[in-house]
Amino acid sequence: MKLSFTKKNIEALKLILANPPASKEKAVKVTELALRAMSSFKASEVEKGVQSLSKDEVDTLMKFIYKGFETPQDNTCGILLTWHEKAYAVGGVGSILRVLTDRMSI
Amino acid sequence: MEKFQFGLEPVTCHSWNKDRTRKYFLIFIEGNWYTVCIVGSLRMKPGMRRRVGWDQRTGGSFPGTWVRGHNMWVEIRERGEGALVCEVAVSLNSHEVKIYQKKGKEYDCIHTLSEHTQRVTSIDWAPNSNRIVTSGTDRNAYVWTLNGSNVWKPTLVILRINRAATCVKWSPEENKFAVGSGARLVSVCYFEQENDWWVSKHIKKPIRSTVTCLDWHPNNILLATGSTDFKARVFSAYIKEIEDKPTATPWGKKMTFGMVMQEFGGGEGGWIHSVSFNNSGDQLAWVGHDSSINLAVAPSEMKVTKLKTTYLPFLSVMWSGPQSLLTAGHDCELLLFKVGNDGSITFLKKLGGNNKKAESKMSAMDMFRGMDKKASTAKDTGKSSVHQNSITCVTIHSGAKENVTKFTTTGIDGLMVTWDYKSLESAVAGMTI
Repeated sequence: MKLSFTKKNIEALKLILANPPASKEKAVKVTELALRAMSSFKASEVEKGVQSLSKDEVDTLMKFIYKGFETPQDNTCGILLTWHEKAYAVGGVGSILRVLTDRMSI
Repeated sequence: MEKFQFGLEPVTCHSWNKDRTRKYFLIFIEGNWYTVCIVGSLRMKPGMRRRVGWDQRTGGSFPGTWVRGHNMWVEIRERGEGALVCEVAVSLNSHEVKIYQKKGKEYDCIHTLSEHTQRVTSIDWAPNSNRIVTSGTDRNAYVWTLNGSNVWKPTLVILRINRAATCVKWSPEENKFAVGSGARLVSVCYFEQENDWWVSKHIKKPIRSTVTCLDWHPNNILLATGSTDFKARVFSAYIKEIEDKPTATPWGKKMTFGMVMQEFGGGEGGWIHSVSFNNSGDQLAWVGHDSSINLAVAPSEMKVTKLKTTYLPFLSVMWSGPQSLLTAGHDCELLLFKVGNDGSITFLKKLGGNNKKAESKMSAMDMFRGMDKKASTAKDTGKSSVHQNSITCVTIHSGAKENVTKFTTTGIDGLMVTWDYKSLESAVAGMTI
């Protein structure tokens, strides 16, 4: 999964969201990838990015966001909070609930 | 919309007695006047005497007994149409079940049923046989019958479970009931004439967790369950001792007791909070803790549709028409969904909200009081919904699954609200439900 994160941010993110990790070992790597994809967005582009996602993709995105909160690094939390705000605006509390209930969590 | 506040305690569950508006007759039997509603169409005029046969049973409401009109003469003194005795059984988060009778706009507690030793989890009032069944965390279920001296008498049901009973429901024909429990099984109970005793049969496999909700198929045989292993299932609860062999349904042909007809849901979905068959029994709706609403259509090869909503999880789902689903839950509001012919689910509207009072000007005193108490300057007067906390139970008040005219909700805020479905429907302007 080597994609240029500079121009095709949205495609990169969609690709990651379309292939959620199957195992726990993979999950760490994919989460890292997702975080990289998310951080390559400009703050002003986030909203547009979220709106181009389907409902299921927003749910998966939310899972990556919460996974990202688990292992905070330098400035990831700030970026994730921006993403969280935009994802919440689309998916609502239902989206957060699905992060909590889904057994196949990332 | 009628509101009644039972108190500060949460309402665990509630159940109504038989239809609240019905033709009534005042009849004379064995030295007493009874107000009865006649089951079936019995054409009688005041002053008329006639023999009531076995098939024209009369469901009595005063003194409450099920008057068996077994070949006896009845005399009609009065007939009319009006509200019969309107009673509701509720449990207010305690070991007791209270029966409230409607008097004008208020409800008076007329009976207290206390036999359970721990919290009551579910109540179901069989309309025609006028029996109440209750289940509790004390691992027991009781069937209550009203005797001639106007006292509700409990009969213990042998459930043979070692965990709390969580939900209970009479079958449509009222000859058996099902009890779900934390013991990962469903007890289907029926009355054994020889022993004069309610006995139970267990459905165990493949339930892997607490059964949280039940619903009967209108054919009196199939039983839908929802449980905390994220799955909704349809079982056969055919008891050969008391029933004729069932005919095939779209859910399957072979129906030996305990057979899994269908199983829905995989690893995702969260706990199932409520299941409901539609009026024909061909469709099954369920709601889970992932804020989703699901529908399985049996005739179209068990097609399952899942709608993930943006709201808090629903605790109750109810069919309010052939193509409409009503849900309520942690959002404290009622949501109406439309079911398409292809089995699709679309969100229609929130019902009965927006009763937020107009923003009035905040006084300085209010502001400082707010800052002192809640550390906020915003004027907070509660939620805009009618219920101020989660709605836990929705039941039909008048009508049936195919045409609900009134329904009732109770919740953790101790409030019982009776909604007029038709007026809510008209509020959804331009939409056919």
